[in-house]
Amino acid sequence: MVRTAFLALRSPQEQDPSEMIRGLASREEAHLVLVEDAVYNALDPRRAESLKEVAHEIYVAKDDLAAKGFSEADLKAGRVADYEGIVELIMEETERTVTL
Amino acid sequence: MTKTMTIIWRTGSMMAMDPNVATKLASAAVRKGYKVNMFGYGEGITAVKKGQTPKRFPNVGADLEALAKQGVAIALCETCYTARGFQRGEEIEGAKVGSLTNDLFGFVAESDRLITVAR
Amino acid sequence: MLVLVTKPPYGLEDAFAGLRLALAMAVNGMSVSVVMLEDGVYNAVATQKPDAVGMPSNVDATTELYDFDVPVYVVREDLAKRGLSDAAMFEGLKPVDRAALVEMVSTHDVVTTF
Repeated sequence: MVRTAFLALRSPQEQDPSEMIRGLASREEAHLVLVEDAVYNALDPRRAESLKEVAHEIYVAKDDLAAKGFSEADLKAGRVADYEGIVELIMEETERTVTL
Repeated sequence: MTKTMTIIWRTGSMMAMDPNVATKLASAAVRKGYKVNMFGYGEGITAVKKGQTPKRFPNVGADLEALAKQGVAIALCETCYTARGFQRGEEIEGAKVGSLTNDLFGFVAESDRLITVAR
Repeated sequence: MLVLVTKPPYGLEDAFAGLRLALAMAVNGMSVSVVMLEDGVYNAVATQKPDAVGMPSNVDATTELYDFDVPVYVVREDLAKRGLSDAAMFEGLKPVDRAALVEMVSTHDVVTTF
């Protein structure tokens, strides 16, 4: 099993991260990191459901979420993480990083 | 042994926050004790221009310069650099105008992780 | 290194930049594979005429990789979704099913996306 950290930066309307993740890793291998406009993915209930189906762990960048006017309580999937947490995931908890 | 991370960033300095995401990742990695390399490719090279003075926006050039001072190796693609009219000497202190073949290859060869920041 | 090409040719710099990066790594002896997927499969079309827009050829940038034993895969499902078949591709490309990508990601140490 090769654990992969997927990095998404674009808004839900620009890109559905679930399609590419499904093609590149199994759910158990897939961790998803949402930064910049991709954080909106975690706020939309339907998109959140489809992401939970393809990735077993979802990190949402804390600063980006706050900047856009939302907090952890608004998340329909995943949990907030700061950049140290994201680096920890990339360097220690996964073996590959794939930008979507 | 200290693990190494290489970040390739390919988005320009102002049109998106991507370069800021790259510097935030690099900075967090440095704080956690990792060795960090950064390579500017394509439009990403605009972020290393010396003398950026954005009003009220984050100054990615200054952030990169600070990272270089902390030991982050920063290189960029010369072909991309000259294609956009930049000349050697216009880059921030600590950035190397280099190439995919020499610099990125070396970075990747010594890295445990490769992160791409682009859109 | 695995290079994922997800963008179409000529409108954006990405696909060409990805193919050049793959070449630079391969020239140095790094083991590299390229996958064209999503809109990146448009780079596989044999009848491209980049001269019409004054751009360098992504076909040439791809076939130059063959000299350094870089396999270039094209995802069948993404071709089909865009109304294209294997027959539309230029020579030397290797069509693969999407299911093959999981294995490909796991057998390459690093991945970069264009």
